[in-house]
Amino acid sequence: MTFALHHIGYLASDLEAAAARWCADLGYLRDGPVHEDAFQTAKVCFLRLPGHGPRLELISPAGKDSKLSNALRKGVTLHHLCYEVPKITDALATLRGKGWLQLGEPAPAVAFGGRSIAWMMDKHGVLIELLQSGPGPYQLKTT
Amino acid sequence: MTREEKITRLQDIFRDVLDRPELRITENFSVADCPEWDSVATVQIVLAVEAAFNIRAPTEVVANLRSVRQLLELLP
Repeated sequence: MTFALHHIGYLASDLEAAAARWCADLGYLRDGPVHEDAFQTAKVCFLRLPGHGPRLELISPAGKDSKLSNALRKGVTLHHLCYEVPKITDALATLRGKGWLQLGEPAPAVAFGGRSIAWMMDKHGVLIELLQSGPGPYQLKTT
Repeated sequence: MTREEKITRLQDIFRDVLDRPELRITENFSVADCPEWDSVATVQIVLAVEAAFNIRAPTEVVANLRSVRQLLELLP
């Protein structure tokens, strides 16, 4: 099983303000539009540094009842690491056997054109997202 | 193991995860009784329970876990 770092998730209350700050301060570039995912109760957009490297995903709650609002209230900003995997069910089983807990069934993600994502957390509270590899936007190897 | 013994072991886990050494729980204890019991604590509690009782919690149980009673139903 191979895990390829796809993006780092950063939680922000104001998506546009956060994007502007990351672009101005560190030289990130906007990468695609804002996506709203009702199932994930989130709005997301991607940034990337010129040339290469994993993207930065900015995430904000979609509505006051978002599952993310509580994390924001607690001051969470760095939110998760996302790894692209060849087969998401195999990755879930592998990590489950290594002490990670699965936080729900895989679900299609709006931002990734319907590619499945799933969430896992370990006993230290580290949150990771698994992303099924395959055709669709935000490929790992784009120029 | 009796139900009371199971609750005692669960209480030890809750005390450790929630960092509340004085905490006393019953099977009616729920997230509504404890502001520290958030989604991260739920994961930590489930993983600790799995290790302590040598069980595997189904994903749907983890997603909907709100009470000690639900945990007790998982135990052998």
